[in-house]
Amino acid sequence: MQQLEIRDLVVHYKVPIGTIKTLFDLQLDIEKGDSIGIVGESGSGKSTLGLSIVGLLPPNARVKGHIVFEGKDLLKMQPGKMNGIRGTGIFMIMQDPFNSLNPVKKIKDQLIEALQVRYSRNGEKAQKGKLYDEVLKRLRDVKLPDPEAIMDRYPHQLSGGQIQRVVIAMGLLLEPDILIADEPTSALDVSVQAQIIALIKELQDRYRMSLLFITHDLSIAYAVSEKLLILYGGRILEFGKTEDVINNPAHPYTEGLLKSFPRGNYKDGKLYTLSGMPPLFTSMPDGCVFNPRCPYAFDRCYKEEPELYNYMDKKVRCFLKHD
Amino acid sequence: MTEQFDDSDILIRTSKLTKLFLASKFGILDRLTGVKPLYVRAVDGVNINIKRRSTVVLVGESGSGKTTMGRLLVTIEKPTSGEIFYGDLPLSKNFKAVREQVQIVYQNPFESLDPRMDISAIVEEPLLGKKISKEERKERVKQSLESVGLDYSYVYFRKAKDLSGGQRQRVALARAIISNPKFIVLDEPTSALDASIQSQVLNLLVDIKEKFGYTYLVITHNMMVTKYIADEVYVMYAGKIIETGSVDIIMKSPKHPYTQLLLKSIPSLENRKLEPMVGEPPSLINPPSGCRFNPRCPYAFDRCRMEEPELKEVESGHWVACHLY
Repeated sequence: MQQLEIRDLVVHYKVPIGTIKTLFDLQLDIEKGDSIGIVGESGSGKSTLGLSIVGLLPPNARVKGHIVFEGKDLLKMQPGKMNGIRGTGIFMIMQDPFNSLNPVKKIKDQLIEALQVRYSRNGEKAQKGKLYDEVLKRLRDVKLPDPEAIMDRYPHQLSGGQIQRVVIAMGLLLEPDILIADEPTSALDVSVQAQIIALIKELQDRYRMSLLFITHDLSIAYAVSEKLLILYGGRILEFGKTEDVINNPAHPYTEGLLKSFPRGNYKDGKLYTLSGMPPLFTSMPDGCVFNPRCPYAFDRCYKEEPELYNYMDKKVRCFLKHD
Repeated sequence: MTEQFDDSDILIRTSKLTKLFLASKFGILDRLTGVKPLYVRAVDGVNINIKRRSTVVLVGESGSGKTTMGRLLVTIEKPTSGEIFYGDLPLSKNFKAVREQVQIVYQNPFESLDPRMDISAIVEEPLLGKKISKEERKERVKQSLESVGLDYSYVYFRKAKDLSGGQRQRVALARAIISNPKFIVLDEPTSALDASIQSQVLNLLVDIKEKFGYTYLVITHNMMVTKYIADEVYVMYAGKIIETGSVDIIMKSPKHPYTQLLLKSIPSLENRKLEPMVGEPPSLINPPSGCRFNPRCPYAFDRCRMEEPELKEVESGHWVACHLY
């Protein structure tokens, strides 16, 4: 079942020197229970994509296109109506979790409030004690040491890793239809990271939640997701089954990125490198966005921009994969 | 004195190196009332040997003491007890000479460089206070920036805020190598960088090491980076070294249960199925008795709770601190 449909999404930011195009012609279908890894380097537009789905782009952003969730176009919705969808419909774990919590309320009160939102939207009622126990259980799930003490603290009394886990717990308490997680494990330790990933996957299975996992780390996306979307310069360059994209990359960027991952020791030889740097939104190349770094670029790549073509079971934005 | 620093095969050796931090304030009142101070045992009796021109990688979770270890070796922290030998001489005997030969590069180049300082001033800083003429300083800044692959004419008048992450990490590296150090500690040198830039920086690290004969201590939890850059690996847990050996041994046949679990819980392109470790790293104020890993260890038996295992050589060049072996 189609749960979320993104059509022709374009996002611009208005800045003093003009407009910056961050997302371009983005099409994406999310089916119920999907887990999609969105991988891109800094400045690829991956956070903008997440924010535009939850409708939390900064005021200088201009959005065009359609984001259809349960038959309603979120971009055409009255600003107030979106509040009824955020949380239990779509929840986003932000990259910088400090701003997701209210600094003057105790952790306990904020999490119980989130849980009450879920109960009231489902038309159920619950006792205060039951709510407290459920919150406590979730805090244990995210491996917070001493959850009772944490419940009575304010956000500024917690470390970055603890706050991140509180926000993940909040996301899980709401049991949203779609969970968007923007680098949720970046402030966490490696062993905790594996625990959180396992927990998100377990809950995803249990509640058939859809997951959009935004990360810069291909290896985390490989562990988490069933489908993989490679973003670069605000465009989808490749989209397909994770296993397929990792083992048979079709776009020269994905191929280069995978080749540049270290697999042996330095004594076995140098690492392959993609030359140059990711493009800046203020100075995008003409034609294909990847052409300055592409080893296979030819005339056409500098003149026109390729579309997202169907290639085998994937979608690839490259002339080489299109006849 | 510096000559001795040059001679031996082992560049740095530590003996029962220990660093304690006060866990809470310990004022005069506490002292008078006879309260015992609480200490965090960040590094607890660590012996390591770093061979000249080799790369040693220190892996472990945060809070395992690996960063403190790096800071001790570059003399930013003073050991509580134990000794560090550079060449044959203990640190206390040739502190000044050692200081000039060690450098550190931090994880995040967005935080370790002043965004509003000129690049040339950032790189030049380690030379200030030495008797070096202005012209020579300028020449060395140029050489140093060029050795890390930056275009001098492009960067020297720019500020750190104008550069990308990869370029900033190169600047941090240029600053570290300008004083011709022998030993460089690299604390998570690539983890703040974009994927397509990481391999460029790793290649650069290997290049300049081979060109100038540096010795590295790399602190990381990235297993692919470890595998690529290491000659030897030390695994640290709760302030102790629990396993060490060549990179091949540790990556292919780890023996300590912690190392085995750690390798399985880290995502990589070769390991899709993660097996998360249970439990939390222990408190370093009150570490568990016996083996520090026993509360999380699937194989723990009685002896593990009573007696702390020593680091033993279980096969040639492979040292493990575990009662199973």
